[in-house]
Parts: sequence; structure tokens; C-alpha cells
Amino acid sequence: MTPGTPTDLEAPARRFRELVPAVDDWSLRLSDVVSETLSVRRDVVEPVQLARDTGAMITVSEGGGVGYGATSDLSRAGLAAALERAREWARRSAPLRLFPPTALGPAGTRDEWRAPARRPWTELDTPAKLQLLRELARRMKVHEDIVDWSASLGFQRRQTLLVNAQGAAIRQAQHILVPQLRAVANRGGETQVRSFGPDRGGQGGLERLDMLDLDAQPERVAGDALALLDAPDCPAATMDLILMPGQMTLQIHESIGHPLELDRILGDERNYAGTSFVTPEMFGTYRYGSELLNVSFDPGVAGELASFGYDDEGTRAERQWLIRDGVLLRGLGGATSQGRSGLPGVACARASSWNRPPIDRMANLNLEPGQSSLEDLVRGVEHGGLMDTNRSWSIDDSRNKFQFGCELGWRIEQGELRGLVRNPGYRGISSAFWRSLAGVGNRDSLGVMGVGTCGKGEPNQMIAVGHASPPCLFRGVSVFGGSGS
Amino acid sequence: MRGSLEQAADLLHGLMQPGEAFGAYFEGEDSDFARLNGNRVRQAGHVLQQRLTLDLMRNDRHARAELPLTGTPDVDAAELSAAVEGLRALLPHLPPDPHHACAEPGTSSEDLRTGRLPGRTQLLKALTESAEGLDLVGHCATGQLYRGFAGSAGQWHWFETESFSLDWSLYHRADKAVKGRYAGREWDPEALAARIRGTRDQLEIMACEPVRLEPGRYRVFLAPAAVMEILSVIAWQGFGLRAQRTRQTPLLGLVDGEWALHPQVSLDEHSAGGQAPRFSPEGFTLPGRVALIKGGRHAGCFADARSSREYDVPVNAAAERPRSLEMTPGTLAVDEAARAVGDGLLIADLWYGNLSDRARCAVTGMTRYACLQVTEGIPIAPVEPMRFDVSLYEMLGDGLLGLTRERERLVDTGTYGQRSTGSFLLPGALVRDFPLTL
Repeated sequence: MTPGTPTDLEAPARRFRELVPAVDDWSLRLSDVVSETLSVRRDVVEPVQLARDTGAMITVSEGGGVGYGATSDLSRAGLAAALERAREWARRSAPLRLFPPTALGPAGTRDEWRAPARRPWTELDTPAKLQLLRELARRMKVHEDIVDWSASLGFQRRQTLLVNAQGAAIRQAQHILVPQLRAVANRGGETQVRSFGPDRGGQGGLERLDMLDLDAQPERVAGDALALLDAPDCPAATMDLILMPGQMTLQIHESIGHPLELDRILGDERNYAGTSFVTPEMFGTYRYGSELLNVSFDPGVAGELASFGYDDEGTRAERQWLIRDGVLLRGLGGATSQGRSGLPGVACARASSWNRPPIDRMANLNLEPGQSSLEDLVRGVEHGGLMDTNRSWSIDDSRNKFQFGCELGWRIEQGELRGLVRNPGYRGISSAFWRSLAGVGNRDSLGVMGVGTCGKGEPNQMIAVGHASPPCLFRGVSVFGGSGS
Repeated sequence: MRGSLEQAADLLHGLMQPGEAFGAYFEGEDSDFARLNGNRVRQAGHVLQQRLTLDLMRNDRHARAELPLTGTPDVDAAELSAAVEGLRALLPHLPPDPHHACAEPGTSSEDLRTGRLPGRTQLLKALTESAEGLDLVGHCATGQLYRGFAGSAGQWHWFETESFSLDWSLYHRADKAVKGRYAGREWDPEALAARIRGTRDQLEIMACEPVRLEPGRYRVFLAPAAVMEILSVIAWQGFGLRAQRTRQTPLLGLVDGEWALHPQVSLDEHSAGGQAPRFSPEGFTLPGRVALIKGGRHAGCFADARSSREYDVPVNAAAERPRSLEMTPGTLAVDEAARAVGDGLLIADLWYGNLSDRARCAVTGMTRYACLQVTEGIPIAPVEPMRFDVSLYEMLGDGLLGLTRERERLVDTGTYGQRSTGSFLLPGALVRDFPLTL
């Protein structure tokens, strides 16, 4: 079992086609994920972890209901058993269905989509990659106050095959690389953590390590952690605030991405992830933010974490504007949610793995660049702050009242950065916050990042989403440090 | 599924070469899931999954592979052989692993927890009929969970349980809702109906005009589910030996003895009373009870297998987080909670907690579901969602006025990757000066 050895998904698809009976509709989604995790902590090589996760999700429409059966057993008997469970659930849930069955995927689409990877993961062997990590980790132990330090690389090769009763066959493959450096500094009762990644994960091969300039990071990460020990707490005040891409990622995710999910608006998530302050009549007219706010759904950005050709319902993925010049245009909902709600959506029905059904998810949700350089943004602040790299996040179930914390911040006085502050945080209300957007960084300042652990759904699903954003300036934000007072 | 692990163990014994050893941790489930919205089925289906985590050791070197199993001998044999070959090829290129630990030879256990589960759709039918006419949103899960371990030195553990869980919200409108839960191993439709009636009754007060509170400090009663949310945040890194030795625990002040909680506060990991298997993924048998906080002071922590080697202490946890956390009860009668609050708030649930200040062990989050304003001991109206930001040292320190004598067992209904076996046994807490910030 090595990451270079893909599982043949065509064979179980053939077996399934041979055994599927005449039902109203069916689809089969096969998934194979091979991963490798390498990690060095405190100069000790942690156990190398190789993993494979392979299985099938069978969805059947029969007797007026829809049911699914998922199994890790891809033998004929295993697929047959899962098929029977799916049929049984379809029939039994029909009298209690929330809405009539819709088509299980597109008719006749036959396509293949592959994310580019210039330097394959296997180009460096495991000892070479471990040596790289040992060196990166060693370079973070720059002081006795660094009490924990680690470097890791996670690699995944994902392939899926979606086939359905209408003759569709959609093959997709992605390579994902997630690096992480982490340094913990402590003196007495004060502990500060600084990291690089895992929000830098993305699609591609080993070329990503050069692209991220990983080699330049260890001393900076450790140096920041040490400097934070001596920094004062972030002052508490209402002030102008610049958020760097490492925090904008989370801000976009929690207070634009989740509120725009159509399944939240339709109420599916009200028992778990929550509802939304966005209501159906807002689409097309609601001023979500200032005129500087432009947000796209773009699954075609090369290298971004959640790029794909088709979603897990088989809908072709296309770039769409969600918010244009501050006005809300479109929600995050796949074909099923669009049909239920009558609202415009995007190709974003995604499943975390073979053992979960697709639900509405973010993919690449990007805040488009503006005209300002980072220096312009800083110059535009008389008294304020700048924050980077999320470390704490909390928001209400309607995705309105939020409080976020960052790894580090700086004071800004008279248009200049004037000193590091620790434990920075800020709070606000989504609907007002985005209207206070007063400056958007240009393309040169864009950070292409992501969130690897977005949780949602019942049964629960964890999925990776991409977010690209430049630094952004917000006016009149409630900022605090440490105690949150 | 026991047969899958037995077959895998037999095969692995045959595959081992001189000087090699293996540990194999098995996780499986045979579960039905149904998701509801508007008291109707949104998605329903079945998941059958089996997974093995294989550790291969030789000359102090160690590598790990995770792979799916099917229970079909030929298929699993091919997968296992490939995994062993892959790990074997890797080992010579790895340095010794000084932190690897494996259970002593001969360690073994059997833990079979049979139950009385509802039929596949019986549970769904009972829930929707009980909630007829109501806007119920929720999730049902039922079926069998399996965990096992087999080692090359004859170690063997097997855990098997049948269980169900229902987790629902009844909505009045918008974000005004009440929460209900019913979980266990012995299905009783009457018990479910009673719980639905209970949440239905609570819904009446949610129809009252909601109160918009000003930020400030309030006298509150936190129901056990609200206490659980705060402890869940602390538990993420709070009680682990690794987090304590590397000074990352938010409970650093407590560990160092600079802070103390109220003397009424005692927390234990009570594996013997919980619903999780009592062995670690490396095959170690876990103690029935681990004291974490006693009389308000730090009493102990979790050490998983790797920490045990790194810091030279015995293994007492599968991972360095609680799975069966218990808090000692107090003396306040839960029926007296509103009267004890007087003027303040009854908080049924908190949500989306996260650390806001590690040094002060402060947690921020939101009120959710039935958060009620109380006047002269009588709940009068729901409150609009409010943000809290509270230090544990305040909430369960000087601010703690009492814990209830009744405790509630709260089953973790989480299903990330697989159904959880975690649970909490917690009292409610009467707290003064609970800070609401936004």
C-alpha cells in the first residue's frame, strides 16, 4: 500500500451495474483516498502513517422515497447488501419524505477531471521527506523558551467515480498537500503558539513546498512565538482593523460561507450547525457589505484546496458571483437545494467521504482583490490594529454574532505598524461588519488558503474548503486582548 | 464483525517475520441514520464500515497503516499483505521510535453490551408520530458499534455494543427552539414520548416575546448540557499530560496551583461507568477511574500510550481527552433551580464554545435553545441569543453558588467518521456574575 497505487474503481462500478435491478433511479459514488502523514515533534520522528479509505455510496429512488446504503465492502455481495439497505430505506421513508425524489445526477455526462500536480509526492522518498521535516523542526528550537515544536506533511490522493442510471460516468482525481509548522513558547504562566499551516493546504504536488516558501518559515514561526511572550496584550477599544488573509479565511468562512448555505436557509441544519440570518427574499437585493465586497464561488482556481470539475451530485462546477459590489446574488446550494428552494445556487453538493451523503458545502469561496496594496491599507489607519492567523472562532447559530481570536496582532498608529500585541481578538455582527469594509488589498496581496476541518451535517461530516482573500480593512471594530473584556 | 478482526489477526500472525511484532486496532459499525426537517425525512440510509489500524514494529522502529476491511477473507488478506509489505519496506529507513508503547503480552478483555434496539424504521416512526404537528428537526442513529485489538504477543480485546440516539430540536419560529435528546441501549417508546412531551411543554414559553438583554453580568443556572459545552472546550487540551508538560493546557494555572476551583468541584474520567471501550488503540487496559480535579484542585491527567513513554508514566487513557467525564453532584434540587436564580437566567444549552484566553482558561460561546429570563424565581420569556465569555476559574470558582444533586447522562451523539462512544455525567450549576458580552 503506497500513495502511488490507486484502487481500481471501475471494477466495483461494473459489478454494481450488473446487479442493480429496475428501480426508479440510482447512483453509485465510489471513493478511494490514499494518504500519508509524516511528522516530527520535538526532534522525534512520529510514526509514519499510511492510510487507505475506500468505499461506495449507493443511492436509490424507489416507491416515492430515496435511501442510501454505504459500505467499505466492494465485493459483489457487499454492494448487493448495501443496495438492499438503500432500497429498504427508500421504500420505508417514502411516506415520511420531506420532498419528492429528484433526479440522482445528470443524464449522460461522461467526463474526467484531474487536478494538476507538477512534482509527484513520490518524487522524494520517505527518508528524504522525513529529513526535510527534521531539519525544519530543528530550526524552530531557537531558544529554551520554545517548549514544543513540530513539522509535518500530510498528503492525500483522492479519486472518485460517480455513475448513475442515466449513463453518467464522472471520474475525478485530486492530490492535496498540507504542510504545518508549529512552535510553542512558554515562560511561567504565559504560553504563546505560532503556526504556519494547516491553512496553507492546497492541491498539487511537492511544488507547493517551494510555492509556500516553507524553507523560510521555521525561524520566523519560532521567533514570532518568542516575541509574543514579551508583547503586551492587545488593547481593548473600538478601532479600525486590518485582517490578513490568514484571518480573512475564517472571517469569510463563518460569516459569509455558512450563512449563504441553502440547506441552512431551508432549515436542514437547525438541529446541529444552525440556521442563517439570510432569508430567501434577500437574494438579488440585500446589501451584504460595502461596495468593495465581491465574493465568488470558484472551483476552478488551480491549486486551491476545494477545486473540482463536478460536485458529488454530478453537477458541472462553474465560477459564479455570490456577492457583487456588496449585493447578495446567489446562495451556496447544489441542484437538490436549488430545486427545493427555487433559489439560484452553485455546484456545491459535497460529501466528506463514501460513507456520507452529499449536502450543501462551501468549496472555493473567495473574496476578490481590490485596488489597495497592504501598505496603502496600513497608511489609511490613524489608530487601529492588524491581526493574522486564526486561533479561536465562535459564532451564533444564525451566523451573526461572532468573536474571533488571532495568533498575533500589531498596533497601527498614524498609518504605521507600531508594535506586536498578543492575544488579539475582535467581535461583531456579520450584517454590520461587512458594511464596514473600507479597503481591499490588490492581487499582489492575495492569499490562497483554506479550512481543512469544516464540520456540518447529521450524520456529521468534516470537509476541506478553500478561501482566497487579500488583506481587508474594516472601520470601527470592537477589538480586545486577553481577557476579552 | 468479530470474525473480521480474528481473521486479520490470524493472517497477520502468519505474515510476521522474525523480530517483527504487530498491533491491530479495529473499529467498525453497522448503523442506520435518518435526518429530519419539519418532522419529515430529509435523508436516510445505512452505513457498514470496518477499519483496521495496523502498527508494525521491528528493532524499535515503528510505522502505521490504516486500511478498510470487508470481512471477506480473500479481499482482506490481499489488503493486509500489501499493507505489511509496505510497512516492512519502510521500517529500515526510519529512526527508532522512542515513544512507541504496546500492551503487555496476555492482556485481554471482552465487553459485550447487548441492548433492545428499535426496528430500522420503528424509531423514526415513533419520533415523527410523537412530534406530529410540530416543527421537529433532528437526527436518529441506531445499530451496533465494535472496537477490538489484537497483538502479536497474544493481546486481545473486544468491545461490542448496541445503542441508539435521537437528538432533536422543536422550533417555534426563527431561532426559538428547545432541545431534546434520548439515547441508550434499551429502547422504550414510552420514554421517548415522555421526552417529546417535555420538550413540547417547554416550547410554550418560547412563544412569548423574546427579551433583548444588555451585555453585563447575570445570575444564571446552567443546565447540565450547558456545563457540558464549556467542559468540552476545556477538555480538548485541558487534561492531557502532553499539553500540561508543554504548557499548552488552558488549565495551567490550576496545574501550577496558582488557581483553584470551588471545593465542590471534582471531575473524574469514569471509564467503568461510561459507554466507551476500556482499552486503548495500543491494547492497554484502562483504569476504571482517573481523578482529574478533586475538591477544586488539580488531581491528575490523561497519559496515552505515547505520552507514557515520553514522560515515563503509566498509560491511563486511549487519547488525552475525556470520553466518560463525570462531575460530582452538589445539593441543589434541580426543581429549585429557577427559585435559586431569583432574578437572572435559566440557560439550557450553550453552543459553539472556543477558548478566548488560554491563560485565564476563558471560554466564549453563545446561548442557544431555551435561554429564559427569570424574575422572582419564575421563567417569564426567552432571551435573544447572547455571547458569553467566562473564565472557568470564575464560573466554577468564586462564582459557583451550587451544583445540583441530580446529574444527567449526556450521550455524545457525534458522528464524525463514525458514531461516538463518549458521554458525560454532569450536574447543573448555579453561577453568579456570569458575563454576557454581545
